[in-house]
Amino acid sequence: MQELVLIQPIRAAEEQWSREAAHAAKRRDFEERLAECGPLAYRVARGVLRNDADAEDVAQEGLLRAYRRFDRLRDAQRFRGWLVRIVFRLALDRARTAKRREVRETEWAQPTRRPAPATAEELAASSEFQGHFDRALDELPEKLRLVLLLAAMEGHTLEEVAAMLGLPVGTVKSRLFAGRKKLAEKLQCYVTRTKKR
Amino acid sequence: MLCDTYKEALIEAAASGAALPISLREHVGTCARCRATLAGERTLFAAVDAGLHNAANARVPSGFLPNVKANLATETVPTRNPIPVWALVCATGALALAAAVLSLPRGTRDEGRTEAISLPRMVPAGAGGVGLSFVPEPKTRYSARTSEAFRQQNVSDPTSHEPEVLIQPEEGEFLKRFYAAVSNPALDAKTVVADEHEITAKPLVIEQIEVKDLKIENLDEEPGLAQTGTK
Repeated sequence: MQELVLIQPIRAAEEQWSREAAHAAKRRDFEERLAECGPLAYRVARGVLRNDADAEDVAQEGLLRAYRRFDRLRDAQRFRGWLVRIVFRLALDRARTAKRREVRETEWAQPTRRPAPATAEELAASSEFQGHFDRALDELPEKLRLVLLLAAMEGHTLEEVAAMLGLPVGTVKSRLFAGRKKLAEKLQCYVTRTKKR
Repeated sequence: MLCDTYKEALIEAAASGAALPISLREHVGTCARCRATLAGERTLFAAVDAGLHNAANARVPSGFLPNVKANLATETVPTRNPIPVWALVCATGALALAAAVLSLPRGTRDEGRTEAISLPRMVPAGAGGVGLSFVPEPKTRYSARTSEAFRQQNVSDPTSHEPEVLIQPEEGEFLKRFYAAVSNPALDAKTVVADEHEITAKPLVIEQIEVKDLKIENLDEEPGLAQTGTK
């Protein structure tokens, strides 16, 4: 004996259709934000990892994760800060487990001997300085590092960084100052050594 | 010794980029060592800023955004329940408690208000050997609760005014898709049907009609018609 089922197809169809419509609207809304916030996600990941392939990978993962959790975001104005935190956290996790770090540490242990750079631009551009700089940046506390990276991005004012992270502007300023000072302290010995050569 | 007292002030000035205080400016003007320290600190902070700028403003690969969009397109409709797990656990506990309370024998007061309905849940099999699920319509103040029970049993709520259809269980999903397509003006219902049961148009062939011995009779002569006409 075959049993039949009693259903209400219109209601079921409406539910399915409204679910699909909501999904399409969500995707449209997210893609609009993607054009603006996609590069931001990439740069945050790149700032932490300093590796293009890893940064792209992590930024994509962060954006997809943000898309999946997009419904949970109650205040759409906080999307940028929310996305930045997701990507920053993912990038830190990746950096901790990255095997490339060992390669960098090997390079750090055996610096190449080159003539001392004369100006700040030359100093910053030299690969030896870059290696020291990356290491010094990695050693900074996370909250200082994120503020330094966001403030150094083109087109970001301190007020925007503060709004993005949900912090007072004064806190952002003090973190920025403390972060730059710590970086300078860590690089001081390198610059002194370079000048003595 | 005097220079050491100015060292921190020199670093602060180099870090902030602000103008030197008058006393410090006078000292730097006369002390070559502090002048060199200040220049060194300014170079260092400029290098730090340049390094941060390089680290934070990497060029975004041209294929990055298209790749993300392509990945988004492959994302399906999330099936995860948006209700948090703790809420589900609490709700389940509350339902279990309510079920336990309701399963206890009721008092006479409740019995008087509730109309007992005892009907068989299954109608006997008909000629086609097909049995129908049958659920009586709730008529008590517990109708809301029974409606919930209907929903949990995957049976439609009898108090609803929505049209209902009896179908075979395996056809349910297909019917839902069909109605979704019909109610969505952007979609063509044919496309929904076509992927499962492809429609191919065939020319209609009608055989030649042959009329043999056409006989025309006068209808007025029929007795039945003649009687109604006279009345």
